Amino acid sequence: MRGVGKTLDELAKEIPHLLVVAALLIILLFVVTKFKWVHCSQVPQWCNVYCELNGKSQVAVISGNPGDPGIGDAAGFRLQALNDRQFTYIAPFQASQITAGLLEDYELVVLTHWKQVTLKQAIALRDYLNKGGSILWEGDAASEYVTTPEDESYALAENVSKPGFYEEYKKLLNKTQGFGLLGDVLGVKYVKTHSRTGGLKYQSVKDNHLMVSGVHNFQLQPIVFTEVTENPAALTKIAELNETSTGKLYPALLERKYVGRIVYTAVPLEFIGSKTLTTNVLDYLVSC
Amino acid sequence: MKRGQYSGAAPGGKFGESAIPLILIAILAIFLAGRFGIVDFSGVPVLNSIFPSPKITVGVVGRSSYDMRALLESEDYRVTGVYFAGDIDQKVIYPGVLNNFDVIILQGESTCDRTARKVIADRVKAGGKLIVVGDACTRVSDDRAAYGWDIGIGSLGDVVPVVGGGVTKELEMLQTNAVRGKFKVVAVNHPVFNGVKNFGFDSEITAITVPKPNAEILAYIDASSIGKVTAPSLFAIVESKGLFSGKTIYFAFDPATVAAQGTGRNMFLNTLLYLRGAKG
Repeated sequence: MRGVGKTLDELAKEIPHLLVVAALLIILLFVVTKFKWVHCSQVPQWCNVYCELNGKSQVAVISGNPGDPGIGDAAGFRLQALNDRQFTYIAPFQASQITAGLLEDYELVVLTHWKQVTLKQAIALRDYLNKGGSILWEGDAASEYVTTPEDESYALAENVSKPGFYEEYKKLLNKTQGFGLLGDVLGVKYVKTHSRTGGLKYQSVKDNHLMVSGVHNFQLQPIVFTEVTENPAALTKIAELNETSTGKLYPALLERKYVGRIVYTAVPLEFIGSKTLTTNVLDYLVSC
Repeated sequence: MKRGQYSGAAPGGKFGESAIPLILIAILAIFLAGRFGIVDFSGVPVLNSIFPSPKITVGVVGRSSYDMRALLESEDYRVTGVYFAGDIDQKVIYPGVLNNFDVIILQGESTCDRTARKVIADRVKAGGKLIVVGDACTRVSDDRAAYGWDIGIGSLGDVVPVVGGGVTKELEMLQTNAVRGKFKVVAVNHPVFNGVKNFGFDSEITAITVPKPNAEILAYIDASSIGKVTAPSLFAIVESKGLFSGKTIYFAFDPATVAAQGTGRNMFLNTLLYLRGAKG
């Protein structure tokens, strides 16, 4: 009996250590979920705990004005996303409104129907990604660099204190093509935007990826899409478009694990018509 | 000697005093084990009056077959503690709806939308027990390109131990056909097959593609000449294995129809009893 009592005493002494181990385990799980190394659904019951600790996710949908160039439909995307995730806050923004401070409040930023980007906006997006943000990139978003009168004034003002700044700025703009500095982060180069094309088949390449879970290969309606070339060393190709008449293959769904996650879709998800694919992509990028 | 100290002449008194908390803890542990069905005391004299045979509440998501309904409502099932709560439309499944069911059966409805899939999967991950029959819950109503149990992230695919619709991403629908052959038990020592021998099989069966790596094949149907090991065969019963506290058993055929033919009645009752106490 004395031996049993001693064992119980020793066990009681271990309780604080066990509590510390449990706390460290929860912190570790929280960090790996936060940086999207694991999805909360991969650990049983963890989603509920994580979402209680982290709060509901917020998503920003950034687009240009309705008449601006670019493929995608911000309102359509937002509607689809709201149907699937009624408890996720999904905020629409005009591209002209974005700043680094605005983006950092959001777990996911969706870029759609927004072809023309300024250098300052591109830098804000790059900084957001460097800090661990996640982006869903649709079609030709941010694939053409432009300058605005405000940017010109800013560059000229900077030029006063930093001589040569304006010339450097113009030089950088002139030599930037496609996704420009964001292309290095994204790992793809913009080729062109195809007008409405028929005979395309959406087929998965990485069959066991969570984003295509339960989605089988299917024929697309005639659709606009963006042709890009990817850097295979930096990216995972999840799905591709097969032009059945020519047998030509185009990247359709690409993923890059940067600090956070970057998912690029050549066809805006709201145009594809597979609700399962849209839901999977959102669930993959947004935990709560 | 101070007051309250024991004398060396009465060691039994000290032992008795030290043992009291341990005895109380043991009684409490037994009570909790019986109360939560961890240990079945229904066969132990005296204790069976405190802990009667636990009830197994069964609900069918979809539409139960005529034979399934008859089987679950039959006298011998009721005496064993099986209580059939009825059919539940997948449209009314929201978080919490399935909490009162010990065993959930998916049958007779191939469409299950995402909310239902997620809720069923969460219930199993939290310790619930699931039986999937045939091609139940393999579709969603709003997407023709989506097929199988794997639709969605963290959903039904996490808990169903088989893959349906081909190993590639080309859409291959599950085929359900009438098959005549022999039901053969693989896991002969499994509690589901207590007292069950191989029997002749003549019913419809769904040809699933392949069990998942974390699955165990319990039985198959030898679909051609009886007794030939190289003959074509179909997976019949597959069980999930894993760290989850819940459990899923997949039936490629309707066990109630087979029971109505005079075979397999005990096998399905064993399955329900096994699931009542099953752990990952």
